Formats: sequence, structure tokens, C-alpha cells
Amino acid sequence: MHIAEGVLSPAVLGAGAVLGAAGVAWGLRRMDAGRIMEVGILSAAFFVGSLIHVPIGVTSAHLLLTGLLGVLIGWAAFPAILAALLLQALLFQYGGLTTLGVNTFTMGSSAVLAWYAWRGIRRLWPGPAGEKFAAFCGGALGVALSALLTACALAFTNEGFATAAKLLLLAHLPVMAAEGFITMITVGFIARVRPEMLASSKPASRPGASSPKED
Amino acid sequence: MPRSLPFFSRLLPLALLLAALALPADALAHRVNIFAWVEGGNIVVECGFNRAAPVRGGLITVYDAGDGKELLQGRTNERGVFVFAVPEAVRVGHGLRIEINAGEGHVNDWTMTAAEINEARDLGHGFLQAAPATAAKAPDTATTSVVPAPVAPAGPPPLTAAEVRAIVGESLNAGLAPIRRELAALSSPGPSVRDIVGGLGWIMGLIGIACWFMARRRQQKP
Repeated sequence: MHIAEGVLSPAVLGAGAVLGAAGVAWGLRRMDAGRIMEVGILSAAFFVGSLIHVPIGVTSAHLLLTGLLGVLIGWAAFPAILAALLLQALLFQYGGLTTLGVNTFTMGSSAVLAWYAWRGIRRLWPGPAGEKFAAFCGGALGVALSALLTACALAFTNEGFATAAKLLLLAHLPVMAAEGFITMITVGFIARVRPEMLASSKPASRPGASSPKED
Repeated sequence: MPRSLPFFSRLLPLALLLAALALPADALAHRVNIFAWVEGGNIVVECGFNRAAPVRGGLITVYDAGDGKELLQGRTNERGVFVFAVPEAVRVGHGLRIEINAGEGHVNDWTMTAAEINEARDLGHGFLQAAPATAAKAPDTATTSVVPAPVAPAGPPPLTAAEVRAIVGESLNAGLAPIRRELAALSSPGPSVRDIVGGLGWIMGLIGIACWFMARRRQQKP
């Protein structure tokens, strides 16, 4: 899901940079001082995650971990993903510096949307089974939304939205399943070991508040 | 909590299997590699996501590196290879910029200077010129001198220069193939342990900076 340099038009690059910067600024504002370590560790996980390939038949796609980041740190996923993407672009030549904004926006916003989905499902379906289902959905949704948003960014190239979305979604089906599973296990583990980590993402915005930006 | 586990553990293998079956053959990686070399009068381009996954049907566009004009386009074959004749622009002294677009935002390019191409081509060209000359000379000496040819009256007829050239060229190409592949791999190395550890170190540093800022803000507030 790293869009390389020289693919997107300047308009898309500019829009992505503005939206990405807004997301990072908002994420930094909402970041709790006590959770910096957590954000950093998840940033490191995202940085390394793209080196782990999920083998499926003859081909492979790498892990994204956007859903996991979203579920565990919410809006702070934006700065975490920005830092990891910047380092991936500099050290691995994945993506690129000009596409940093677009890539941050596509993956950051899918993390945040996965977070809202996770919280919504948890509220609708309380209990252990609901918890697991919510975490699985959060992890899988993070990947699916990243694929969709990346396809949106590619919609303005000659490739078109439909082809890009179909290819990206199909190829990432196994990754979606794998990340749903990873998120489910991780969240289940954290719920047993340090439940306050999951609870602390709650008061960030009032339960029942319909607008995410008001808190 | 463990109660609900069987539900998922039963569902997941099924989901994974379905996903694996539904998958298209295209490999999706984060980066597409491109490597090009001169072979005779042609330029060979090889593209892959990694050693094992060539880019099938990737769109190759060749640009004039001098004035940026598009020279030709084509698609890679099953092995991720695309071959084209050295364009006229190279004769004028312009280099080439070869771009691969493998789709889903995977783009990379490879630049060749005119000198590099001409040097490789001259090497082949000189060889081609030298060979017919010797071939022409051989029957000449045979006809002018009256000495009966004492060489190998039995056995297979001697090979012509063209045949020798073809055989040598073939085995040379075969011998060079792994070296070319090695070069291609070397020209686009994957992330090393050094890169990974370095990146993790950077993130630790950023955490430190963030902690420092937060601590300062907290000190100033009360």
C-alpha cells in the first residue's frame, strides 16, 4: 500500500499532504502524555510489520497493522504511522517522500475508522464474544479500508478506481484475515494483562457522542 | 472469554483457505525492481517484485533521458522481461530512462547513459565485424594455395565462423545469466538488518523527544 513517487498528480499529492498533516496534528493534540511509549512501540511494530510477508500460494502481501494501531491508540495512530512511513521511505525506499502525505492519510484514517468500528461493535455486542468479534473486525477493517483509500488515491491515475480497488482488495484478503486474527489475539492478551490500556482510549471521547471531532 | 474461541478457531482456517483460493496471481509487494542491460543490438529489461516474482504484463515506457520524449512502450512477458532495439536517440548521444509501471502505484525506473549503451554495443559490433572477415579469408587461402588441405579429412566438417559465434554467444549468454540476475538483485537490495535496527533506533529517539516535550509542558503548566 505504499504508493511510489511519480504515480500521483500534484493535486492528489497536495490534498493528501494537507489531510495527512491535519490528521497528525489532531492525533498529536489528543495524545495522552502517559501513552507516548505505547504509541512509539506501535509505530515500531508498523515499521517492521511491512517486512513480514503473509505467504499465500505463489505470492505474498505484507502486513499493514493499521487496524491494530487504530484499535490500540485511536487518533494517535496518525503520528505513529507518519514516523514509521518516513523511516520506511528513507531506509527501505518503500513509498516515497512526496507521497508521504497521501500514504499517511490513507493508512492513518483507515486506522482511525477501524478504531470507531471496534468501539461501535464493542458497545453493540458486550461480552467476551463481542469483544473478540470487535477486535477481529477492527483488524480486518483496517486493511480493507487502507486498500479502498489507496484505490481512491489511484482513481485519478490512468489505472482507475475500480481496477485498483478490485486488485488491492483481492490480494489483501489473506492479510485481512491474518490481521483480524493478530488484532484479536493482541487485544485479548492486553485485556487480560493490562485492561486499563484498552479502557483509557474510551474517555478520549464521550461514549455516545456522535461526532468524533467533539470531545 | 475462552468460551467464544471455538467459534473463531473453526471459522478462521476456512476464511484463510477461501482467501488463498480467491487470490489473483499478481504479487503485491511494496517495491518493484527494474534492471536493464545491452545484449547485441537490443536492450533487455527485467522487472520483478523480488527474485521469485517477475512482473507479468507490466507497462514499460522508454524515455529519452536527454529531452524527456517518450520513445516507445511495451509490456513485459511471463518472465518479466521486455526486449527492444536500441533506439536512434542513443546514436545522437542521448541516454535512456526506462520506466516500469506494475500497477497499484508500483513504479520504478532505470537510467542508461548513451556511452554505456554504445560501449556495450561496440563490443558486440566489433566482434561481428571481425568474424566475417576471418570467414572470408579462410576459403581465400584455401583456393590460392595448391597445397591439399591436410586438416581433418575425416570427422565432421569444420564449423563456420558464424556457427562458432552463435555457439560461443549462446553459452556466454547462458553463463552470464546468473551474474546478470545477481547484479539485478544487488542493484536493488532489500532492507538489511542495519536498516531495520536503525529505524527502530530512530523511533526510540522520537519517543524520547516526545517525552521531553510532554515533560516540559507539564512543568510549565502548574
